[in-house]
Amino acid sequence: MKIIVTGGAGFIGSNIVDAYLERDHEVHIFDDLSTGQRVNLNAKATLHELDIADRKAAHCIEQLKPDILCHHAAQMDVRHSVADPTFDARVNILGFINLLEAAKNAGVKKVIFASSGGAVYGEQEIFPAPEDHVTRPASPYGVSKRAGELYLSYYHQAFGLPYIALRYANVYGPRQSAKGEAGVVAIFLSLLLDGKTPVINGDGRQTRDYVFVGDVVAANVAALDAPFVGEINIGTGVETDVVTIFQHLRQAIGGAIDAQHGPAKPGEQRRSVIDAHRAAEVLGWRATVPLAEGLQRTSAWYRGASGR
Amino acid sequence: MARYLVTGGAGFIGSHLCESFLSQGHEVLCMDNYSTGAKQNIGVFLKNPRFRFIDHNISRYIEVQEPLDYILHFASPASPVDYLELPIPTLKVGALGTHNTLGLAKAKSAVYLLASTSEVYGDPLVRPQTEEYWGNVNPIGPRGVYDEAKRFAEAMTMAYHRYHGLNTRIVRIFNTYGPRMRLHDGRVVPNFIMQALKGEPLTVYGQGEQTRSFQYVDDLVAGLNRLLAADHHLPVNIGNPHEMTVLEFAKKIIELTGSKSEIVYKPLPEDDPQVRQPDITKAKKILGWEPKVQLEEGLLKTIEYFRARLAEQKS
Repeated sequence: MKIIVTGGAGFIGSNIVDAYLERDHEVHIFDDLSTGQRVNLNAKATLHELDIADRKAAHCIEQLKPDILCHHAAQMDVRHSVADPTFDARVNILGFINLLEAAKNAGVKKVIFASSGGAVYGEQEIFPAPEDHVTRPASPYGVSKRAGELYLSYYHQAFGLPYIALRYANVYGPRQSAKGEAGVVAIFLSLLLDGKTPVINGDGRQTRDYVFVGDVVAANVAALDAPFVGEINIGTGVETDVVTIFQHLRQAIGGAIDAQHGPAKPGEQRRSVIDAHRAAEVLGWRATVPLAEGLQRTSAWYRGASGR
Repeated sequence: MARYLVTGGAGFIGSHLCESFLSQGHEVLCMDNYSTGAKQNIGVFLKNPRFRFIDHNISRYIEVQEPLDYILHFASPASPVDYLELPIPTLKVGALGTHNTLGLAKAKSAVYLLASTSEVYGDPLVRPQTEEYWGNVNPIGPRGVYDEAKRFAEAMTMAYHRYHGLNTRIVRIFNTYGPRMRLHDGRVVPNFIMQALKGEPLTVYGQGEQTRSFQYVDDLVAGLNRLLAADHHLPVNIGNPHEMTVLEFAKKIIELTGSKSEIVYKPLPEDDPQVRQPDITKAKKILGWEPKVQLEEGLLKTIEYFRARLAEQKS
């Protein structure tokens, strides 16, 4: 199949590109390299250095006429979305509509969309949250991701464009950047390797659902052929607190460092975990990499042991 | 918990390494003879039960009773004013000191890290310098005492790695600045800061259009921690490739100190070194490391340190 992966130079996108190429698909990457890294680029893919909100990106889709649009380009920094909601909406909403219009015109067979479980549900009522859980995004980022899903639903109703929106849990793994507001795994690993003391916000008992990027990639592969249309949680259903993550990482690195506890972040969600039963049913997918192993593999990558 | 031996641990960079390993919960043996190091650099660690100071000249035979996991050889005069004053000790610590510490690492099966320098590139004919460049050094010039000592030290370290299978690392450190640099170190960062704080004119040579790049010591320490954890035996450049002109730099320091100092221009000396600029592609790739500290942030911390030291001297 011919597949466009937007954000294909980024953390999750580039891992997906590698998997699609391994399965002999023709892969085109759309990335403006604003946060994506050239070193993540797979040489077998074609890079189109484009801003997804630009007309040129739409033209490019109309010319390529891909089978699949796998959309992972995004403004992905929650804090930045709060500081500059207009920018967040320009990239995550207007940029996406730009691509969807072109996808409709180009006869794309399916759109795979990177959504976010934690961000679209907001403060949860049910643990773990199933897909029909009420959505109350607590940040412009969550709003823009939810908006993306609603636009997909509209394009499906109005034009019969099939889609799968993958609502990711907290994704971690090789190639995650430690810059800006990234995942706690990348930030802690980077500090530990620098010999610095990570600071845990509050008591460190806040929980998240941590899913290894290799598992997320497998979901994107399964989504290519699954006949399902709609939202699917991609997580483990298991809650892990920050203190436990730190302990695993310290062990993986072999350090003696103790974390410091700083003040709790106001407004930070206490618990977040998503129910992945639908993924098992409609994608035949489940998370297979245990946390300890995933963190081990991630730390090996950060230490350069697995090469980049 | 691991045990680290840091030679030159009372020096500028060495003391930051001791601090880093202590803060990570490790044990540190700091070896120094205060030739260019200073007691006050390690004063705060002396009360830490995981820290021990050994007053010793590393160019002489070294004996350590306890097991060691890591040995970092940082002892050496490193500023031109020092190694021009101490040419023979500089050659000895690079040659004999390196041999002694390598022998100790072999006896203890410790990981060994040699502090080498961008000076091994001498007056480089390529720019920026990658680790593959062999350098352009005058062995009998005045700077040769430092440059050749470090080149010999690298050769010795590689020989221990190849012949004895010792687990070694070599870091080529570029211009570094930060707290615990000596006030009269003679290099441009302390010179300018001292002149600005004392309200004296800042001396710029030529038009000040020659460029320099400086890394903050925290970035270096982060890179060294990463290098210790990586399985890489060939030399790695650690430095900040961001260049600025000496004049821009002087103006920045006047601005950040709030000094009323003027800038005076003196004729360019003939031996004013050509620009050295690190190519850090390898460190990025192998260590996932790059400098993070912004110049302004690093300079403010350094100025604060210099200010405190000057106040001590006055009182």
